[in-house]
Amino acid sequence: MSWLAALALPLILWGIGRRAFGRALSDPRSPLPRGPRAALALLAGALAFYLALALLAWAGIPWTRWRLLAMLAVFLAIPPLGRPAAVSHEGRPRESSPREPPRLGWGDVAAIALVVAFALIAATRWVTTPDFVYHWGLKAERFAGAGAIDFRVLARPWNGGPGVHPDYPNLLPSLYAATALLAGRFDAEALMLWSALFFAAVVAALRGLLAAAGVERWTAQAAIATTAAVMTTFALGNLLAGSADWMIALALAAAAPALCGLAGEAADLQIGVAAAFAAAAKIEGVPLAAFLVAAHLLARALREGPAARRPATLARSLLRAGLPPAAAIVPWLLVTARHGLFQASNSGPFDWSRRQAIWRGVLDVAGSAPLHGLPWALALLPLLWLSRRTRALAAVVSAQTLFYAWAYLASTIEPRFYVLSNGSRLLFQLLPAVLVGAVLATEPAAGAADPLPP
Amino acid sequence: MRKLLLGLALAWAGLAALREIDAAVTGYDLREQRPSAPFGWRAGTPAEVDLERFLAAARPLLPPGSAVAFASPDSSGNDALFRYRWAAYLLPEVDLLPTGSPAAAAASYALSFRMQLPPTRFVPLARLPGGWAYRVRPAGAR
Repeated sequence: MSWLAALALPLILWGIGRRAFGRALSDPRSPLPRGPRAALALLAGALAFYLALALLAWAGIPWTRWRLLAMLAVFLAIPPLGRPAAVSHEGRPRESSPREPPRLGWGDVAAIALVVAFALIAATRWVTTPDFVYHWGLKAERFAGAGAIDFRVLARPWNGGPGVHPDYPNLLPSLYAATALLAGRFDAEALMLWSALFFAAVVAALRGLLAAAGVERWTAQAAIATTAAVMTTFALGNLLAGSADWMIALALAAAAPALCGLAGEAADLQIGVAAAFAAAAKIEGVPLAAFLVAAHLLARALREGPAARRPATLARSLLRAGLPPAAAIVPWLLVTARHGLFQASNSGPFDWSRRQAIWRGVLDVAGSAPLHGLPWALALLPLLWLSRRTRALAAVVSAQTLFYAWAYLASTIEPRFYVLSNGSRLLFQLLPAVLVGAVLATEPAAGAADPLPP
Repeated sequence: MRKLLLGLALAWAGLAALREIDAAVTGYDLREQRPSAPFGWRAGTPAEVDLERFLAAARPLLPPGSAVAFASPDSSGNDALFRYRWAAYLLPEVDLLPTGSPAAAAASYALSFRMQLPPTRFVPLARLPGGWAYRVRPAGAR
């Protein structure tokens, strides 16, 4: 039953996202391939479900298996949001076909094999992140037991301290708790399936991005297999099963087509959904959400000329891209502040003298045996600045990297230990988008198909 | 040239992934030989299994939702802290409190893993595999 619930819930959330938001998340004139659309549908469905769970908790209505099932049924009955394609753009081509990737290739098969290998190993709990024990899983158990996001438990002083993070956003533990309630018991082995599903969604989103950008087949296959191999290495070598870092990587992968100018009119909402998902997943997802929205608006204004720079147009874009993350961030901020959950260890005075210890930590992470030198792939980031197509993606990843550097410099935690404790996980969040972005940026046809003006 | 570089990157990453798959599978097969410092515990290592067995035996003795202090030897570094973290995860039915915290002073029950607590304050409820369960006398009571 646990395995069934862990498989069924993401599928139902994907179904909800596809049915309710699929139309709004897709521009009929510039439709994305199935992979990015599926990833965005999963994100939208998970977010809608999470906000409804938070609302129930706020209203004092406990989560139970039957209430959750009823809620999922109601969501599935919601009529599609957004205008039907046939009447949306009179006088223009009504609908184009997405540039789907051709049939499965060798790189896809390799990526699927790696996802399956990871799923099987993760199911043993041997590569489960210690953070699942210290907070993600612990919170999920408590939420499932209380039938709510239990802020009283989070606010207890012994639930604070380094490594426990009572102030983190609660999307992941809420999804785990809902899975446990639907299954009738908390089964950590089955919950590891969520990480494998997020892994598969990242691969599917990036595979579709490569196809939408018209990357030549061998290169696309090699890129997707390389990305999956890098993710597998990080996930196994650095114990990432059960962590929320997959969700940040997924948010970035799902936002990448819009950042690269391939999503048409739906780009605002796609960015909004990806930003909201990142912000609801982890605390570092909040700045990522801001960077996604800002980079998208700037890129859109530059890409689409003076018409897109009119205040009314910008305001509409800001509303579509900014409302979903605001819906995820504002309630979390208010409730977390009200319960006094923000941790003093989150930040400290900016101290430039910490840089040498931080750099030593970075070198240690980059040279750590289980990562096989793969962290150095972040050095590909400057390539993304060279192509106009990938410049907005480069801006987001660069801003997030600078934010991490700032967090290390402005902290009270011993700097080298701080970097060693989470540096590779933070890299993992960014690397899939950087790897595929580097391939896009160096694609010979990229200049010709570049959607930005010279 | 680009294809060659991408091919080399694929070979590098593929080899790294295969080595980590091999390391994970081998590590899992040899989990019973893994050292037991709580900081490095993983599910299925002998020390973690011992704690899980101890807590499973304690579970029926503790009313759900009760405040329970948890003690274990702090042999080196933060061993007791990390053991406590694991115990809190493995026994979510109660409010498990680390001994030494102000809240633990008000706990009604106590669990001690691989150590005993002084009988002046802690009345043994049961000897369990790996430790003891106690009822805590209120402070000041004889």
